[in-house]
Amino acid sequence: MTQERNGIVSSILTSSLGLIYIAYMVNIISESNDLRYMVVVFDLTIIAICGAVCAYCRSNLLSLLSFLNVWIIGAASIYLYPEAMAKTLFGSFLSILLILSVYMRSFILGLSGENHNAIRSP
Amino acid sequence: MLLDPRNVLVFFSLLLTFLYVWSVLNLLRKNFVSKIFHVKQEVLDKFLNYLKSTSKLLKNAKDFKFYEKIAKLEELHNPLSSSLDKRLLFVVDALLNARMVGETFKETWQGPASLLSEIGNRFNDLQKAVWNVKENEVFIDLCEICYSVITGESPRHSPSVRHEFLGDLRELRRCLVQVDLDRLGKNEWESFSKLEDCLWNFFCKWSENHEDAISFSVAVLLNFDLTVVETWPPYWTNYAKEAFVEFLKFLTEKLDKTVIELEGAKYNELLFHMSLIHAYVLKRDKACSEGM
Repeated sequence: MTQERNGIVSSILTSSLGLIYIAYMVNIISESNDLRYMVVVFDLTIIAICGAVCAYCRSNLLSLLSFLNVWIIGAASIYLYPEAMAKTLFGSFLSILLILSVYMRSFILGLSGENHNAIRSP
Repeated sequence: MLLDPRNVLVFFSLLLTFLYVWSVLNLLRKNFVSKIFHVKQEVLDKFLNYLKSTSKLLKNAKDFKFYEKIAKLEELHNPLSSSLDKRLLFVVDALLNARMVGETFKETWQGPASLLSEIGNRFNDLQKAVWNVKENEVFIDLCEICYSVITGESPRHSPSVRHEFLGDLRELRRCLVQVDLDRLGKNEWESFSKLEDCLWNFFCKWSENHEDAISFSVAVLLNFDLTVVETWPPYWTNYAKEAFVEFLKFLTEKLDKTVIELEGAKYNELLFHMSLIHAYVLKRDKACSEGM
C-alpha cells in the first residue's frame, strides 16, 4: 500500500516537474531573439526529454550520455548568449533534475531489472 | 560567415542532438520489438498483481463468473512461475498488451494486411480462451500456438515424424468415416464424441506448425454440417452450443478461401486458423466440464 502510494506521489511529482521544465524552456526560447541560441536551447530540451525516456527505460548508458550532452549543449548555449547565463544554467539543472526524477521514480516503484517500463503499454 | 564559430557550435550541437535522439529511438525500437520476446518474471508478477487487485474490486460485484475466471488464473500463478518459458511470458504479455503488439508487429509483418488486422481482433478471443483454461499444459499449448502465429516460425519435420503423422491421420480418417453426420440422431452422440476426442488428440499432438495437419484439420472442420447443431449432446451447456455455432459459422465463412488457396502456401493464415481451432476446442473442453 505504501509502495503504491509512493508510486502515485512520485508519478505526480515527475509529471509536474516535466511540465514545469517544458514551460520554463519554452519561456527561455521565446525570450531570446537570437535564432542560434533558440536552436541550441531547443536541442537541450530535446536531449533532456530523450534522457528522461532513457531513464524510464532504465538504460544506464544513454542516461549518462544525456547528462554529458546536457552540460555540453548548456555550455554551448552560454557561449552563444552569455547574457542569459543564469537562466541557461538553471535550465540545465532542471534537465538533470528531470532525468534523475524519472530514474528515482522507477526505483520507488521497485521495478528491478531492465527495460520493464518500456514493455508496458499505457 | 558559415565558418563563424557560433554557427559551427550550433551545427555541432544539432549533430550531437541528432545522434543522441537516433540512439534513443534505436533503444525504444529494441525495447518494443525485440526485447518483448524476453519478458521477465517481474512482468508476469505485475500482471498477476493486477489481476489480484481486480479480483478485490470484483468481490462485491455481481459478475461472479468473471471473478471465478480470474481466481482460476490466479491459481495458475504457482505452477507457471516454477517453469517460466519466455514464449509463455511473451504470450502473457502479448495478451496484456494486445494493442501494442498489434502496432509493433505491423512493422515486421510480411503477410496480407487483412490477416494482420484479424490477428489483432482475434487476440481478444484468445484472451477469453486463456481465462477458460484450467490446466497448465493446455495453457502452454495455447501459448505455443500464439507464438507460432506471431513469429510465423515453421520448422520442417523429419521423415520419421511425417510418417508418424500420416499414421495418426489415417486413424483420424477412419474415425471420421464411422461418423455419418447426416444420419446423426439424438442418441448417437457416442460416435461423435469419439470423433471429437480423436480430433482433440490430433490437435494436441500435431498443432505445432505441421502444414499437413493444419490443412487436414481445416478440411475436416469444413465438412462439419451446420445441421449438426440442431441436435446436441446431452451434456453440452448453452455456452458450448453457442460457442460451437459461432465457431462453425466463422469457419465456413473464413476457411472456404483458405482451402481453395491452400496450394498458395498461405501458411501463416493456416496457423492463424489453427489458433482459432484451439481456442474453440479449449472453450468446448471447458463447457463440457461445466456441463458434467
